[in-house]
Amino acid sequence: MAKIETLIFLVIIILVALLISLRALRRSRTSSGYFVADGGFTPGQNGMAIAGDFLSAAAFLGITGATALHGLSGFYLAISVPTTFVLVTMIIAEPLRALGRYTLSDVLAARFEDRKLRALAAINALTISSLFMIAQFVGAGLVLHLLLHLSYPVSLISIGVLMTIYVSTGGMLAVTWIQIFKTSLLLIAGVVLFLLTLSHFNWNPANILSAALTRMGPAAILPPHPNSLIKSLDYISLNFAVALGTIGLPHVIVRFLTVRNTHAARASALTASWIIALFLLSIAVTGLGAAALLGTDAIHKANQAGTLATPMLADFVGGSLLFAFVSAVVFATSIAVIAGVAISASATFVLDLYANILRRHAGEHERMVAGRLATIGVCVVALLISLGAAHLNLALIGVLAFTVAASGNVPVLLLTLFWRNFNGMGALCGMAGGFIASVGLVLIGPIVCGHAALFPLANVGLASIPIGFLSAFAGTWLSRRDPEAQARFDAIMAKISLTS
Amino acid sequence: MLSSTRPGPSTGSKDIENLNETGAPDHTWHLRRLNRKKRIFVLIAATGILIFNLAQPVLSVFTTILDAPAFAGLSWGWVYAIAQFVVPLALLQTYRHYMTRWEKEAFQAGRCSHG
Repeated sequence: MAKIETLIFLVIIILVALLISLRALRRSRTSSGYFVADGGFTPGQNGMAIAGDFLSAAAFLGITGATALHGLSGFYLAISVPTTFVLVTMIIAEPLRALGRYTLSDVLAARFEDRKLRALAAINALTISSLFMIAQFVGAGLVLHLLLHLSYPVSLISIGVLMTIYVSTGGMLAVTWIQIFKTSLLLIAGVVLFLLTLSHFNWNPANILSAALTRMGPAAILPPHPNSLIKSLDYISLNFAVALGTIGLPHVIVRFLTVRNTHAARASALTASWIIALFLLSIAVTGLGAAALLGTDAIHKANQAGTLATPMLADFVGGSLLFAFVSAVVFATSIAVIAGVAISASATFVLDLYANILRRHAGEHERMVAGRLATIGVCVVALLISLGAAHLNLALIGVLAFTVAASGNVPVLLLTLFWRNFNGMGALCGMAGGFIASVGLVLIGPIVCGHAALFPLANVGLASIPIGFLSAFAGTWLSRRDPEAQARFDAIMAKISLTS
Repeated sequence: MLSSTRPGPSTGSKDIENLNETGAPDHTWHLRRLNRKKRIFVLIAATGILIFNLAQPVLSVFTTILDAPAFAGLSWGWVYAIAQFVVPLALLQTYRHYMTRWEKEAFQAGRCSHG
């Protein structure tokens, strides 16, 4: 289908991204330039980039497909996203900009001078980034295989090689501009699909709903009703992890360090919230529109998870040209999202592990070389794992990344910013407790152990997030009060107020 | 709001606390007060929106309240799902409005304390 048109769009996207990377090369010769683009983005640009980080191919194709196949129950995947951005905007955007330089560890270091904590935060961040990258890599490889009929390894390697070139050449500046470019393309694709779908129903969304009801039955409007208590708790646990997890995602955290001040950090979070919310709402219409126009049987037959609902709808309402454009946008989305995670992972490796623990006297040039090599290393490792992970459940890997972030990072981040008596031991216990609980419960849960599972929930956030908080409280209460950490808390509050 | 709380020339004990060692109004007092206001707002808003968000899956899986038809062919489940987008955006706009106002107050207080 539409091979020539798709190829033309792909070549244009690859060349534009390459041009962006080459232009960014000149300004990416220092650590600050390479990892956070010298904090030089405007709130509008950064908001577009944050939205791009969040609107992955999984969101674009996955939520539309789930809505097309399961109606309202499928759309439930999206309902926690606006809430998470309220939390990001109000709780972490400004403090992060006021305190951080490159990574989450910098924020923790503003209160606690503990190399063990810094190392643990780095390991935690690298685990989350790796899980996220693998989920994105595998998803992108499978989607390109379905859309462009490339073999899975070729799809994966082409994404990996291009993304590595872009990131290692242009650093955060290139990653952000590629993300902005991709978000613009994604919004164009979303708006065109939304309008063309509406045009088939006399521009009345109510007609889409009634047509979807006819094709799907009551599932179009009924919320999920799992048939057991465990499945019900699993559902709530999933929403809990998604609502809190974004606050602790390293590649989202680093975005607030790429703007000039706290005011710009807040404004960029607001911009991102609007873009994401409106885009996801439009997906509800296109998802139901796909069900009404194509029928759930055809969507399910093309792909069991409904991943191809969006391109199939594009082909139906806009012909081969729109199909080719949507396919190319999916390709751009995959590269941009993985690039965002890769730059954050390499910053964590170089600045938190290499320059703070392994080679403390590393100079600027050495850090830059290490940064570029780390980017290549991170990409190659994720690529190799992804090549053998095509059969894994992507949704679960993605949710695991959110759960580890929500359990290991979020309690420590929140208590660092809001609790004066919180101390270094509490931070260490909270981070270790949340991390071990989230990974450990998955290992003894039904995903890994099947019917022999010792823990019943597949989504473990409902247990691991409270464990993260309790570990942090217990660590603080059972250790000595730290007057220095309290004094630093006062200084931090003053700094946040003044920088506002 | 600012005029009613700004440190004035009276010698009441609370006002004395709001003057620095040179006798000028203390800017940090205003910053602390505004910071406290902001933290209370954030705490209430963040807790409220999290409860509002988690209430939907809880109601969905344990009750059938959201199955009932609402209007225009939508079920209460769809109405709640759409509200999950409208309410956070409205809250963010309110937050933006308050932050702009509080930052203006802090800025004016700073100017006053520096004469």
